[in-house]
Amino acid sequence: MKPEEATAEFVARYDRIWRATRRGASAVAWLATSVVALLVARIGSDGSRALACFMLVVPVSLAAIASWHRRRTDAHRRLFAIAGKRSRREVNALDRAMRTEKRAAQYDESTELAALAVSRAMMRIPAGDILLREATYAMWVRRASIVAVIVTIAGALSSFVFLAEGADVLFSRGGIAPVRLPYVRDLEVRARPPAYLREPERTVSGDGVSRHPKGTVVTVRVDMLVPKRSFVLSDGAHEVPLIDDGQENLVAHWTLSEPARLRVRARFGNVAVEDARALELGVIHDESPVVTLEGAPLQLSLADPNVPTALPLRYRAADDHGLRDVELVLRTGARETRRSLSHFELDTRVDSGAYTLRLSEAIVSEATSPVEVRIEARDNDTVSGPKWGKSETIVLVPPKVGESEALRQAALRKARDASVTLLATLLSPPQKSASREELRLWSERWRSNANNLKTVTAEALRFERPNVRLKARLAARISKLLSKVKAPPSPAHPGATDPKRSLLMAEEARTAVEDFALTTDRIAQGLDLASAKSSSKKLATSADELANAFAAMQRDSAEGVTLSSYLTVLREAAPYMLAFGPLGRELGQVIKNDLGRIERESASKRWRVAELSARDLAARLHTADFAMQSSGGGGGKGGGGSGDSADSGSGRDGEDDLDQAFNDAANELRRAARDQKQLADENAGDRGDSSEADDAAKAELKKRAESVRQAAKPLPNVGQGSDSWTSKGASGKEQAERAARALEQGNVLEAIEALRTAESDLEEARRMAKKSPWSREGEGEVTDAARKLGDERGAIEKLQRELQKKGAGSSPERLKEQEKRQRELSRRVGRLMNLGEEMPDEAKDPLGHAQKHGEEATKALGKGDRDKARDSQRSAQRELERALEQLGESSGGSANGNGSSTEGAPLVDVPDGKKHHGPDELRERIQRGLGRPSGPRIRDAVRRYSEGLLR
Amino acid sequence: MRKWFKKLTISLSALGIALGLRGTSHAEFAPDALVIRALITRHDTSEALKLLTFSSRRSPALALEEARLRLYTGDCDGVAAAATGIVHDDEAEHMIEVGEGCARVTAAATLRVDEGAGLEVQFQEEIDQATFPLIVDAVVRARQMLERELGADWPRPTRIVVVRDQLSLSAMTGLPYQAAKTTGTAAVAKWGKVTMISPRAMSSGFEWRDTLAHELTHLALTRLTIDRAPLWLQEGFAKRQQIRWREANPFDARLSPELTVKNGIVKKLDLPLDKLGNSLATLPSAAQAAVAYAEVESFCGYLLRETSNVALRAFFTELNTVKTVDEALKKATGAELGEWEKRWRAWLATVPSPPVKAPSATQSGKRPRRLNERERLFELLERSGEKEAALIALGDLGHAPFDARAATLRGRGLEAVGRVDDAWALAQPEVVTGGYGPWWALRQRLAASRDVSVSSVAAELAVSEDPFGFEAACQARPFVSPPEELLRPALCAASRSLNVPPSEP
Repeated sequence: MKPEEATAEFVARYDRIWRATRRGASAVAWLATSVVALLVARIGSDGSRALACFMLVVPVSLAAIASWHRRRTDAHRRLFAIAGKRSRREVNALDRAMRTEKRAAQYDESTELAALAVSRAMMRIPAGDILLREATYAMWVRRASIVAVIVTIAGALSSFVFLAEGADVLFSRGGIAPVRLPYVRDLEVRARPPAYLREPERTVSGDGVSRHPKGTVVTVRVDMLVPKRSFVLSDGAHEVPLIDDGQENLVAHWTLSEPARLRVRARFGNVAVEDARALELGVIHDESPVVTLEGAPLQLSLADPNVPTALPLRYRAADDHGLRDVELVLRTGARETRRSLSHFELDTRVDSGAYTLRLSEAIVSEATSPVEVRIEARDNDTVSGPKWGKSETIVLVPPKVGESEALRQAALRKARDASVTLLATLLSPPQKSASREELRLWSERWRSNANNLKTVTAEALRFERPNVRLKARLAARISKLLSKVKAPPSPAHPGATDPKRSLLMAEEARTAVEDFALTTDRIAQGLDLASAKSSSKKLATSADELANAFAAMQRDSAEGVTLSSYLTVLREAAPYMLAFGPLGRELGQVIKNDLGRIERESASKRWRVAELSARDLAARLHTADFAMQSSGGGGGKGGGGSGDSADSGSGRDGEDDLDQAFNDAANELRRAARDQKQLADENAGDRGDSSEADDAAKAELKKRAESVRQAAKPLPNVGQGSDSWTSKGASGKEQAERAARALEQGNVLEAIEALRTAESDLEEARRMAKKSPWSREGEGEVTDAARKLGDERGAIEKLQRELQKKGAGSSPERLKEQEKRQRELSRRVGRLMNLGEEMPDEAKDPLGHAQKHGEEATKALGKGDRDKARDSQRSAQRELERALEQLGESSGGSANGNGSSTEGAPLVDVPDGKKHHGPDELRERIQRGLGRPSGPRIRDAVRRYSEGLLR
Repeated sequence: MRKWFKKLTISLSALGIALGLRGTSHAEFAPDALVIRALITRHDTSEALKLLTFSSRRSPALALEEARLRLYTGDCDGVAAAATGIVHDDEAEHMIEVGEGCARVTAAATLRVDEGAGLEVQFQEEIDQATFPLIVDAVVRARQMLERELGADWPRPTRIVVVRDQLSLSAMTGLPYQAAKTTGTAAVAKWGKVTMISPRAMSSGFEWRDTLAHELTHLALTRLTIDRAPLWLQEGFAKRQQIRWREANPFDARLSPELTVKNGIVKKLDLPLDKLGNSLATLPSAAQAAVAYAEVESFCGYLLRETSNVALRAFFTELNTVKTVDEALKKATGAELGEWEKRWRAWLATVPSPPVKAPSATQSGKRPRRLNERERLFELLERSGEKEAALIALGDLGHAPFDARAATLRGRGLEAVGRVDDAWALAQPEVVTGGYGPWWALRQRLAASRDVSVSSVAAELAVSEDPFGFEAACQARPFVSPPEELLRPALCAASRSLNVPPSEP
């Protein structure tokens, strides 16, 4: 056999031995490597996954490379590689022989010898032994492979989950494994709504979608199929770790703020493997409160005479969970006022109520732009923040500034003009030679004009708009003057046909008509001035806000709507201002002129100039005065004006006698009302001079005071917290002390009140003490003290009745003094009642009642019956105040036609030193207020407030 | 030669100011700032601007002068910006305040310019523009008079601002509002301009063109004396010159200042000439202001009579350079102020009282109440068209001289019923205590068919007092349509837009 053939055969036999073995071993090796690789991949980090990939791919590659290499290598080299392991010498010899043969062939030498050498060398290689040995090796490798595969398979089977996880992790994308694995055996879900909802915790089914209020804390308790992993609860964006609850479950808390699909995940490094099961959670958002206002939306024009003076606002507020505040909101222009209607500390889902809004309130009566009225309610959502719900709006459209006043002035002037027409008739009587017919016609004209005067005057006197009417005393004065306007002689009267007598009668009537015309004219001028000033002040506010809006425009932050609304207010007011006499004309012209320049600059967007113009207008309107005061100028005449003071329209030089009489009467009435109140207060306060009280009664009161102190002695001096009975106990002691002091000062009524309050406090203390097992002793003390104080109060009340009978609560001299003052006051009221035209008839009726009650009070004081006297005095006081209202006066300040005090100051009695008890009175009033029974919950707050005042 | 002399005067004046203003509140003196101030005070604003522009440093003193210049030229918005950086300076703060007030008042104001006359007039309210021709006429004539009589010259333009009320006057000039109200100030010459209240501000107007002439006199004297003229000189000559721009009217001499002063002396309202304060507008009362005006007017008249126009001008010139007023007066006239005042008071004692009692400035100005009421009834009846009844209601006015307003009403009433001759009798200066707008208007109407020149003068005087009064502007009685041909149709239109109907309500 040729050496080549032998070699080829040897290699073939070798390959046959190793082929199957090689394949099996490779497979086993790859399997094992794969298992390891998956386990490495399960770590989850990027490095481990990369390594796993390496481990999976590389061995296969290597095997393929080795096979390719084998096929490429020639037989001889393979022989050398195979046999060279054991038979190195023989292989080397063969190698040398083959080289020699090759060389011989190359140099054309004898190749037979070389071939012989090669054959001999080949024969020397123990091929059989080698192959036998290789076969043995292969057998052992096969056996090892079998073992290895068994081990690998066993291992894989035992950690199949790990391998599955590893594979899942290995092929993950975006940190999430592609295959969801069943980790969760069981799931328990509970939901706890936010605390402010005060709802109980409940169990949630894991199936389907469950909805919960925003802020709900969802507790997920999981029973895991496979333990010892890092599990989390996730909605895909956020994760919350599941932690051991000590009962072999894992638990996590999830706060729900938006809809979520929660899954359990096992986290492996950067990769998570999700559980197949998902928990769907929806969110119920807290709704804003729903507020309804009865009648809204609605628009009311305040210029309408049929609009009531007060607007009832009935509302209802409801919230899905709970209300915190309900407020009345009034908004006009840029100003907003809020008033609290209700405030809730506890859960209240529905609140309804009513509020009466008086249209005379400043924010409404002084508004120049529409007033928006609505009710707003705020809920108690602490999760996403409280929300406000708003009702529909009631819009109160104020009359145009000056509109109502202008209508009133028009009515007044109509009356004046009617009197002027009548005057003209009276100034043009028929001649002495006039015929009967001429006389008759003239009388008819007189009568007709007189009737017309009465009609239009009555209309003027009846005029009324919200906050605008003719004051009673002015109306009374006009009425009085009108009553003096004589009617023409009736046809049967001799003067009707006698020109001479007609002239006489006309002359008499003329004076009355002149008085009427001049007075009405003066009143109109005075009201013009007042209206011009008051309207000017209102419009000044609009002008200020307009200027501010222009300033904001320069900063690009104003709203065009605001600008136009202010401009509209000013524009609409100007025509009415022109109707208010010289000052109104001046200001009306100013407004017209300035609006012109403001609008011009505004149209050109020159905001700065527009702002300055608006400020100039505002400055002028704020001043609300004539353009030029005092006659003469810097270069003009030094004085002696011609026509300045008369036609300045500022009215008369001063009030005439009747006006003065009116004011005097009004001031006297005001003083009388005040004095009556003082007398009634003195009587009710039982502020008799105790220094002159009966000695025995004094001693008795002092003894009672001591008893009261003794009864309250065991009570605590200081409370130990608002929840403790000691707090109420200390309060009761304080009231008892107050009662004792009052008794010492002779104020029996106050003492009785204080004792009642003390008993109420102690009852509360007793209840609180009863609740606590550690306060039994305290309960006993409180009960005992309450009983003793009750006994004392009974005794003092009995004493009080006796004192009242004797009149020993104050001295006889004191009673006499009060009786005298009351009698004098009644006389003063009587004098007021008997006044003439300076006291309107409407006021005389209540004056009469006041006088009657005053006389009754005088009699009662004379008999020592303080109670009856006090009642009568209060009645008298009410009647006097009613009389003041009829005059259109309030208890303070004199007033002009518009009901606002612009001229004159009220008369003020300067008290003497004996009368002034200001600080003492304040303290006593506060203490009296504190002493009155009040709910236990608010009493502490009242006390703290009052103490703050006193401090 | 004259120009050279003028320039020398200016330079010496500037030097004088520089020397004289030492000790002013400003800590830092810069010669250029003082020169600039002098130029501004003389109303040489363009020269001042040149110097300011070329001045290399920007010290607080210069900033102050820049602020002042802006006030003079009407750049009110720029005052605050110019005065930025000046701290703790009352003058600067005052200027800023005035600048703010001026900006507010003149925001969107209408500017009318007469290039030929060299006049700029700003009207706070557009409607006052109707008086522009009257203003131009008065200013031109007043300037000519002042040039002629005082030797004044006028840099152009002359600036006038017409405001609507004393509040705006106060804001523009810095005069406290209360002071303006108390003394009834109608105009102020300050900051290089005349700021005056519109004649609309008073219901029957006032002698506003005389007031304008008065203030222009102040400007002239300020320029002539670089604001060193004492108050008595300023006010005395202003009062004297205020009527000299026009034809004299019968009432000019009616109320002589001497009588007013004598009455004031009796009531102890008079003041020594060197104790008048900084401004007559800040005197405690209108009555005292009236007496003070009469004092200075009388004194200046006396001084002029006893010396001469030449001496007066020399006095102005001396004021530019010497340290004290007495020094200047002595140099120009031979005696100091005290001596002159003595002489004047002695002369005053010899002045006799006139036979007809004229209303004195110390009277309160009130008229009998009954007359007031009758006048009001007249107006009401006139408004109703009851002319005869109106006349009856007004009744008899008693004996002449009559109150001007009463005479006007009665004359109007007579005119309305056709008794024009009786009305004409009341339109004579001899029978009334004084003239005022509506009275002049009555005279104008009644004279129209008798004596055109009288009518023309009366028309002029009517609008000089009450240009927006219907009667003066429209040359017609109230409640009557104006004639087709009007002297001043624009004024009539303005009046009608204001007073519809007249004398209302």
